[in-house]
Amino acid sequence: MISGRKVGSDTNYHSPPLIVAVMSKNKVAVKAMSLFSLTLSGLGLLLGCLCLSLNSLEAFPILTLVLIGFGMLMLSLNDRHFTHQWDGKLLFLTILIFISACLLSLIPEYVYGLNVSGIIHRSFFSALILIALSIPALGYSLYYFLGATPKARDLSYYPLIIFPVVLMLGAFGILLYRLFAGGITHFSWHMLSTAYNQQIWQTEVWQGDWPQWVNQSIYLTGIRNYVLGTLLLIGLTALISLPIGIGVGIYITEYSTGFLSKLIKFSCTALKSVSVFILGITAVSLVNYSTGTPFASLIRGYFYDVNGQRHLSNGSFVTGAIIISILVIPIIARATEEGILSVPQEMKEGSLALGASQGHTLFNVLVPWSLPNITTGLLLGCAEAAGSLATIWYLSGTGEYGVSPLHQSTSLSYFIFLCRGDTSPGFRSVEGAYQFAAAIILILITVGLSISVLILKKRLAKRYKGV
Amino acid sequence: MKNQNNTIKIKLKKGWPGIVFLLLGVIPLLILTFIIFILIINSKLAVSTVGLGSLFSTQVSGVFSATNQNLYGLIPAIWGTILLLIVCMIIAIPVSLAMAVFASEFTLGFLGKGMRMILGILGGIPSVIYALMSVVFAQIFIIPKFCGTGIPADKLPVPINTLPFNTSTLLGGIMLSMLIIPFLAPLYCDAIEDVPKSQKEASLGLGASRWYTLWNVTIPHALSGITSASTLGVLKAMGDVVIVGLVIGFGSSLPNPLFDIFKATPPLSSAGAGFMGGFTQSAASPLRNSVAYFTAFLLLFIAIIFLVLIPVFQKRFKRRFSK
Repeated sequence: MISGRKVGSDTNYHSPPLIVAVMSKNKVAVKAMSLFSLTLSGLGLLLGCLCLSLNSLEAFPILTLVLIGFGMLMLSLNDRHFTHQWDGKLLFLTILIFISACLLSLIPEYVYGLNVSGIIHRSFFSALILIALSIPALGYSLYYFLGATPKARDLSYYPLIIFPVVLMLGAFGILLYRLFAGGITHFSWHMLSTAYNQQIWQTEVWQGDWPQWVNQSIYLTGIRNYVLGTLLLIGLTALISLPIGIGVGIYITEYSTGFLSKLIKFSCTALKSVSVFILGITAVSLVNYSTGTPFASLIRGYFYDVNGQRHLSNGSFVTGAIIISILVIPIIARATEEGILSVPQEMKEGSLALGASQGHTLFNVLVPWSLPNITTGLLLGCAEAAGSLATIWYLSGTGEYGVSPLHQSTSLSYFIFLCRGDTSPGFRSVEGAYQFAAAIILILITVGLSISVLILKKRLAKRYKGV
Repeated sequence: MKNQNNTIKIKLKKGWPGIVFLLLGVIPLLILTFIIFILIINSKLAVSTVGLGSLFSTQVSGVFSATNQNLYGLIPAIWGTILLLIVCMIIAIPVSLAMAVFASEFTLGFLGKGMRMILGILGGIPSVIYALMSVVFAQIFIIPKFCGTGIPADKLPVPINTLPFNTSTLLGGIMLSMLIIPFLAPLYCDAIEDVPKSQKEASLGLGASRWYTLWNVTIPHALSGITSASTLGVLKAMGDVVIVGLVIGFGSSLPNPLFDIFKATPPLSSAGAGFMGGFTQSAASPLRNSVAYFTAFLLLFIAIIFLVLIPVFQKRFKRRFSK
């Protein structure tokens, strides 16, 4: 009666606990309360992320959990004060927070057992619990902070969506930062202009009274041949896959007859999504079969050793480009298909109605219209060619005998692979310092290609809207 | 006679693009047939010498050892594939879904719109970069959390060489999920944007909130697209061999408690690469190469089954939601 409430709503009214009674008198107090728990649960989320990598934050997680629990308790009491019933989910969350805080204090510092080959630190569990419980707590405090309206309920789901995005982008950020920090110091003109090469010459060494000829070798270190090899691989792949890809795309949209077109589409999807390991292993058998045939030097590649003798190697740039274009053809075919399907029907029919043949219409109306799409597909395919490694895994070499279509294939990604995983330490000790720099160049090539694709797509959309 | 010749000439003149495009168009089909043919021919030796029963067993003689040449069980590799896919997809699917929802439905102004561009740029990073940078994640996450860095070396409860320092299924799954997310999120985005606007607007017009609309209208409608996109993601994760080979390794053996993700259990693709010689290019024995071809055939078989199943599932989902 004193507070001016209606009689009806007062029949089962219990007086609230002191803290809520004090705070919920006015809206500002509710806001302050929810702001308090908002800050706390935000801090808890941050602490959870930090706990994913740091071991030294032992004391904070339990404390933060208890504080968040009190914030949630206040919110639920406040909610009951206004609506006269308990919010079940909020109450459950509150109880869960307190229970997990108790459980967390019981866990020993290191957890192991069940014959699992790993010793789990306690802070891993605390990070998981903090992240899992802070997100709903953040949502609830956002809901009450924004005034508990239906719109606020909508907005309170944002933490659930934004947190994974931020976490993943943070992971990518750390990765790229470490890559650039590790590689930028090794950049030099010497590295870019020198090709990896092992030079051997004979010198006269006096042993006792007699001179002896001894082989001496020196390594020229650099990554010029790998950069050139990547560019050559991109060029050859584009040369092989562009006509075939466009042809496939045109055939399945314009000349297709039911079942065959479906089969071709299915094989395109299959080639794009089968394991790259299958393509690599097919390349090996291709190389094996070519031995002894006239194509051997085309498919295997050749080099001249120190004495001027001609040797066959494992696989030439041409073979590498052929194998990679198996991956690239479906991409270009798909892009061509999309481009041709986006041609307005009136333009096509107009051309046919004026008496042009199907071929004429194709080359003068459909292909020019879908040219930007084809370019997009080609650029994506080039990025694929630059980064593809498993396809040329068994073909490539160190590329010390030069870069030309008939020499042994090599690329930047193969160079990184050699530095990271070569079992013989010789190459790694000589060239290992350049692996991060090579990775930066590789990323610049592929990311540059994908950025140009994005720009092209934007202009494409503008054109379709404009015409 | 002359007239007939002329009509043939005219037909050729008008119809040559059709013939050329037919020849170009069947190339993917021919390549696929050629690959299947080569894999079958080369895996014949393995099937006849080792036998299917021995291939599908848990018995493995260490990949790089020359003794017991005939023990090439693939069950550890298949289990490794399942374990790796579980780890990878548990991370990749929710995060990609959140990214897709952030980019298409719950946008925050320009941030949501820039998301697609960021995903496009991240999608261009080749897989060898993730394999190279796996060391970073080992340093900041795996080693402090799972290697017992605070315990002195003589008091470790587990032998130190079994601890997951730089190679483990968990680390491989994390790095693989970083490769998969930029691939999966745009596909999810497309699936969500393909939902008819009238459905969403009807739900919003009836007074449902945006979250309710997303959860009860948009996602059920996009479910067929999301399922097929996830299948493609699973195939991509299963097919990658660079990250898996460099982070997890090539030799395969069954982990002792089966769910042990701290142990390195290589999946099919890298086990196959291991049979082919692993890092070295020198050809191993013909029998082991043949087992590698058999592994590749198995991978191709699984991929084709998945690809055939996608349209079937899509049809079912569409029938369910069109009523």
